[in-house]
Amino acid sequence: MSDPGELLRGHLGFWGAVCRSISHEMNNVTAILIELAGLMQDRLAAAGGQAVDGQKTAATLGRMGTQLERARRLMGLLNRFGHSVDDFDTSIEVSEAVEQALALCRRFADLKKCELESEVAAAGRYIISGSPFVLLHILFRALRAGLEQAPAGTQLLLRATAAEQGCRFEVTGATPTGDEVRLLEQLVVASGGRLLDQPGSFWLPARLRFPGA
Amino acid sequence: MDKIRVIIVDDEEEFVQALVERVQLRGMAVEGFTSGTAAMKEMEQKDFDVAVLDVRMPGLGGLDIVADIKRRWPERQVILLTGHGSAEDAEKGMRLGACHYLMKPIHIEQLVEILQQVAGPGQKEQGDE
Repeated sequence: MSDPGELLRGHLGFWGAVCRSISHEMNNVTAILIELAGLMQDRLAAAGGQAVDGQKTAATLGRMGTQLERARRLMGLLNRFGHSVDDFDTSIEVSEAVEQALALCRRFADLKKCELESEVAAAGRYIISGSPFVLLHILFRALRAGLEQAPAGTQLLLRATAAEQGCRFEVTGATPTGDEVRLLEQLVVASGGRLLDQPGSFWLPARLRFPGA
Repeated sequence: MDKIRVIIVDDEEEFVQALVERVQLRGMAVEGFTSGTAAMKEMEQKDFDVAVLDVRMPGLGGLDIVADIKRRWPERQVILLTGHGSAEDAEKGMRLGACHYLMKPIHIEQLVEILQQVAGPGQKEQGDE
């Protein structure tokens, strides 16, 4: 039985976790850019009016470019995530949702020194209709549940396969545990899906319900 | 006069590299690490005055390290670096024995001023008595 209050808290918790994670990483990028710009100023000051090492300057500018590219990717990820609530009943390409969920979860995996992989070949062009936000939330919870007790070095695989007029998802590499599992189970059932025998596996219908609505 | 010896630990490699060079340009002896485990190994081998630690890192985080440093070398100082939303972690770090914390992005002159305050000549002489 799903608890609407808990599902709503779960949705908000997911939203908050993603915003915190991406803004934290953006802050790191800002900190790096400030240090690299400051470093170039320091080198100029240390040179006392003489020419600075051109190769070092070029290398530092290259490092700044890499961080700006990282910032652009993060802003794109956050923007796309923000658009996931534009439409609550739309067509969602499963392979894209899987990749987006992996990207949203990447920093959590990095903090645990784990790796995330996906396998979507069998469901590559498979379309589910419903809320992109809900599908992302379910996939994110599934990955977080797998990461909960995963030791460093674990490689988690999120696999999606078209099955029974819906889609089967499974997270392999670690046994899902903790509070994340309970909420994941509620989300799957409230979305019209069902849990499968293998831990970390569930099936979602071709038309998702909006849990808690 | 001996240089202030600083160890900087942050999992963001670019941040560590840039900060190490900037602090070196201000006359201190600095080593940088991108993992808490590697930094702790170095700390066991070499003397240092101040460790500057990121609070949140994969594996051994800043809070784990500050507790270990203060237990093993109480005279050594620790400054914590935090990002958004980790001020609570920093407060916890202060209770564990860190002397300061700074929010990222940092101001280099503020960091250098704190390094000189906690490990400058006056402090070193007091520590040697």
